[in-house]
Amino acid sequence: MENKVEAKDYQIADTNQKIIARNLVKDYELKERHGIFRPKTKKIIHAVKGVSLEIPRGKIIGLLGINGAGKTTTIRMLSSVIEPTSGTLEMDGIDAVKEHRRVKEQINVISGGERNLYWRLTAAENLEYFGSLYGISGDALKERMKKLLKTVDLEDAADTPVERYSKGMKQRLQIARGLINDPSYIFLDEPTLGLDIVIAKEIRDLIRHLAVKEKKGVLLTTHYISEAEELCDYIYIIDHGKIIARGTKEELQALFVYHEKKIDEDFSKPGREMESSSEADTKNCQPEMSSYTGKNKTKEQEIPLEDIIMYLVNEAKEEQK
Amino acid sequence: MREILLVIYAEIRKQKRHNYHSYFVYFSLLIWPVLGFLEVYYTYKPFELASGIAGIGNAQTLLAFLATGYMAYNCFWSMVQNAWSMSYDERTGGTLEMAFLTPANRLALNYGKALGALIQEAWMFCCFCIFILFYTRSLSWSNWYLLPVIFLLLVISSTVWGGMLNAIFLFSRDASIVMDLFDTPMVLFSGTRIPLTAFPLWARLISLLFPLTYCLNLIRLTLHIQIQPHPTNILPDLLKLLLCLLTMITLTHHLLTKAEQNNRRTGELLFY
Repeated sequence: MENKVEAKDYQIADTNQKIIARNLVKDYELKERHGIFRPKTKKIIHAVKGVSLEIPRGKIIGLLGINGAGKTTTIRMLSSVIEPTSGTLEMDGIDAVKEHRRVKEQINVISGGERNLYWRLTAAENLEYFGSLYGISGDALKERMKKLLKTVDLEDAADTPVERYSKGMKQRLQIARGLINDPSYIFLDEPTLGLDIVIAKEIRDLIRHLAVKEKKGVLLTTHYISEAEELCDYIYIIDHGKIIARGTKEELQALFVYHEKKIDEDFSKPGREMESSSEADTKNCQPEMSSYTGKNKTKEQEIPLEDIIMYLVNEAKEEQK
Repeated sequence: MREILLVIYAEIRKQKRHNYHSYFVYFSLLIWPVLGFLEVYYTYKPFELASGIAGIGNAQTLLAFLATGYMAYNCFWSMVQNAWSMSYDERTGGTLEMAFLTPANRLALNYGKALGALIQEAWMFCCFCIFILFYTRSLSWSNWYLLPVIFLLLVISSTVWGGMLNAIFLFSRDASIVMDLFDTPMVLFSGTRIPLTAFPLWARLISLLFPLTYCLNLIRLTLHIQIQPHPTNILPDLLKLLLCLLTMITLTHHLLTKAEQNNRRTGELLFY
């Protein structure tokens, strides 16, 4: 695919220029009601159970999984909106848990949907407000706003209240808002949710541009597998709060082929129990980016990523049983 | 300091653009307090004021007393309303979390929200009250210079009060009980409509809890609105107000730190 970066580009010049998450855990306390006069009971929800991942600058990292897998909670931890119950998080060598206010200058979040904006304000006014919160003012802010409105093609609608925007326009404004502080790392939580194919394509092109040309580290969650296939340099698959597989698209395909072969072999040996794939998965879930070189390309026929994810999720379910 | 002022200014501009975008909004912000003011005035009026009911000796003093009371109350009350709407609308709209995603100074954000709402919500009614004060000759060409003093007193006290309420509302979207706790007791015990001298001791003790009490005492003392017994020394109330404001600022700072810690733990700044 055109956006694929050659293997040599995977080498990160400065090893500190990335976000490194190790064993992130997030537990929530949920209070359950049992009627007005009966006391509430507390329940601990393990939303994320030891996620480790890396986001180098200039790369698009995919975080894929089904609904409720823990994608959004992971993004909210990585973006320092919430703190992990345990685990470590570093951004460019800085402890992002302890110094969360400091790292906020270098990150931003772009969510899919129509929230996170002031609808009665115009696009320019929204950008002016959020820019001011990052300490940008005067000509610098005006120039940044002008550039971003041009980038997301909202120049002509800059002075129109957001409530009059279409869904696609709101999403483009979300992107402009997310770039107002010129972040080094961007977290995109389903940025093309519910958009038509033309707008979605434009946004994908923009995401690619941000990573490849502007060298920003991008973490992308999406339900559109084709989007992940097209954009992501590296993919983590999350299920029930755990990373169940990771690798480039080719590596995931190789993993899939390996598992398929193994299943075939197991079935061809009557009476033999199917081996657990946890060993292979554990190897793949190490946080180091040693396999992040794109070397392990399979020569097998290309398998849709969607099938791989479904297979891995189902396998994880089987293991849990 | 530049960043702090920038954040406060951005909040004021945003509030004006977002919440006070039409003449109807301003009209409603004027008409309801005026109706409340008139209701109380005409409730008192049938009584024989010459006998000095609750220390108020004539109709002019009554008007001036109520105008100052309602003006200050309106400023303080707009803070309670603003904190409530901030905690609900901005929370569900996701913009509160977006603001906390930035490195902006939290105290500046908080006070900016309060100041923005105060300026927009109170100015029309304040103009009305100032007209009443000129009409009753509490304000005249000889003492018009007191206006900025009153204005400053009201703005600072209300903003500090509003900042504290905003911090409380950051803990939970269900903090609306704070509205119930502060509204009726504040309007009753702070001397907005009823002079403190008319209260029994227990009620006067409650009135000490509200900065609005000291603020109103100071405004009325400054304007020589004669309520018997009439204190002449401004210093005790000024010191009490300063102490109250300092306590509130310290508490706000503490609450903001705790609220952010709590929200980082629970993720409750955002509700879909």
